[in-house]
Amino acid sequence: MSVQALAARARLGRFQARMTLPPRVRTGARVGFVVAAVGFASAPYWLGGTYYPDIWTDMALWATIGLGLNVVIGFAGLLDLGYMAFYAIGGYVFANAALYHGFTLWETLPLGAVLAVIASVIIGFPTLRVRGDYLAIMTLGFGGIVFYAAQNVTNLTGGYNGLYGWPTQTIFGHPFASPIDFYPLALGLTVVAALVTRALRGSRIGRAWACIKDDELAAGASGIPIIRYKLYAYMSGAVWAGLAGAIFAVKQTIVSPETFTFDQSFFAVAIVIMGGMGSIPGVVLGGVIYVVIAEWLSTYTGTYSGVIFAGLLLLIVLLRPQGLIPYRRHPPRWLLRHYEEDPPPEPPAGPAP
Amino acid sequence: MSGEPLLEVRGLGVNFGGVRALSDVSFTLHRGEILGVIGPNGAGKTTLFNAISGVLRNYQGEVTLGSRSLRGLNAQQVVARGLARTFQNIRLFRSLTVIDHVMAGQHRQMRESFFDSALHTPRFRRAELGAVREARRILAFVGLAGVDPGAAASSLPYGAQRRLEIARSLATQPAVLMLDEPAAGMNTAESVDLGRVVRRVRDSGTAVLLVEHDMRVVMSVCDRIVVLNFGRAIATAPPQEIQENPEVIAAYLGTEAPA
Repeated sequence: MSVQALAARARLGRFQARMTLPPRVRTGARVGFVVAAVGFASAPYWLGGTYYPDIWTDMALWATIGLGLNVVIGFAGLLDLGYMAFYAIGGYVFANAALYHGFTLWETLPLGAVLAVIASVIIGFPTLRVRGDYLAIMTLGFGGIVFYAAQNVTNLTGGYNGLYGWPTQTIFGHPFASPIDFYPLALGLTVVAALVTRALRGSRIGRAWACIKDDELAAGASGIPIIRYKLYAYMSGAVWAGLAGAIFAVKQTIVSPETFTFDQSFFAVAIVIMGGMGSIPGVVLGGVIYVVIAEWLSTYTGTYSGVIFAGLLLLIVLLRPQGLIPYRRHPPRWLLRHYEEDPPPEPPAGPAP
Repeated sequence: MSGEPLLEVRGLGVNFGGVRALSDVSFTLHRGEILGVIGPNGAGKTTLFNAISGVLRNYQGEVTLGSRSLRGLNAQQVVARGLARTFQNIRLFRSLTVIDHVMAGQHRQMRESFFDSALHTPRFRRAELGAVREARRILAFVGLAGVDPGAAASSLPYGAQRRLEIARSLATQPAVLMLDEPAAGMNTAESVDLGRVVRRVRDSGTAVLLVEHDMRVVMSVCDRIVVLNFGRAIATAPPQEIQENPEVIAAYLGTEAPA
């Protein structure tokens, strides 16, 4: 082994020593995490009844919302206070398609996703040149526009009463009747959202988002098309809310404006901040905690659950500002391995012309 | 000494409100050349850089790179044309690792589509792997071969951060590299080392435009020097002549008011 290769190995060793636990402990921790996650996710099946599956479905939907918003806030650093607009769009698209055009949920899901993405481009476009506080205020405005449109464009949304009364949706001939029927669908969406957003984060797209989040001027100087990548962030965030919104509509059997108030958008932001910006397990945990407090605990504490959630959020921001499960960017191991295995680069020759 | 003209600046003028920051500045950077830009504080050096690199887009005159105008292009379009820059105050990305920086610089060249990225297809793996190899080569090129690729860039010592910024710029495969006071805050050993890197960049086929305060670096590295004073180019010549030019000496040391 050459001196350079030894040096490379030493470098990698330093990296691993700092970033990760010893392999045995790491594998153990990973197995433990997976067992706990699978156990928790399968809880509705062994708890039974209709109450728990319903709660767990909400957890999955809120975790998906968190994952989508995490792309916008956590990856690209764009504070979006009107994110639930896309959730609303997914819900209303499904309701209209099912009620008036005889579409099924399966036909509507892609449609809801596509329309949420289109809406995100329309909403995102005017905000591309503003930053920080101004961006937050503009997105707040757009959230408001969708909310009031839901109340007042009655021929599309049914106004205050909302839309309801579509035929029962089925999967392979089996009707979506009980909450336990929705749960696998919602959970599946969460898993897909987690995998895809994780993959994006680790790609050149995720790298470009991180650059834009850190320093727009330097990102431009690195040749990253800032406007295009901000739009990508809005689009790849909105799609998950659009899908979750449609599933939520089927589960609730009604779509109405009160589901899409500003509070809801605020809670979505809180989930991302609480869980850890950019962190996928963190944001999922944030969604779970939100539902536990907002829906489960509220049966015992009533309206005080809002106070509990806000208090918890304050504590986390003060004591653990990086979130419950913080995320730190690091190159994947399979890439760094090439520092060890590849022959060392020839002495300075210069960048290719 | 110099090849064909590469970057041409003709009659460049910039106003900030009523202040004329640059007026009628003209010079040419040739292929294979290191051109220094010097001048007292406030002479307009950084303004010149910002205008050329697309950060400042409202200027008079003409900037052409390889005979194509850069007018109206934003920063990343200028990079796409082959002109990269560093910043006077180091601007690295807070949350990115060392190797991430050099891969970010390769963003434009990487061939991985949105779907490759979302699904981590074989093409994605090939692109990332290619980028890592290239990043390693560039890091070695700027003298950062021994640095932990997974370290946070902010944990590097000052001189290494400067080099990493240069590495990020080189990763965009520029025809012209513009360095804004790269030796600022460096000790003698570090700035001598930096001069070596700059020459190596030039020798590898990338022309360099160098704004610098450190006269040791400027005089030892540059092929020719442009002197700015109060927004005007008062001299353009090889280092030897610049040192003897009375107008330049007057600009730096001051002179009695002309009668």
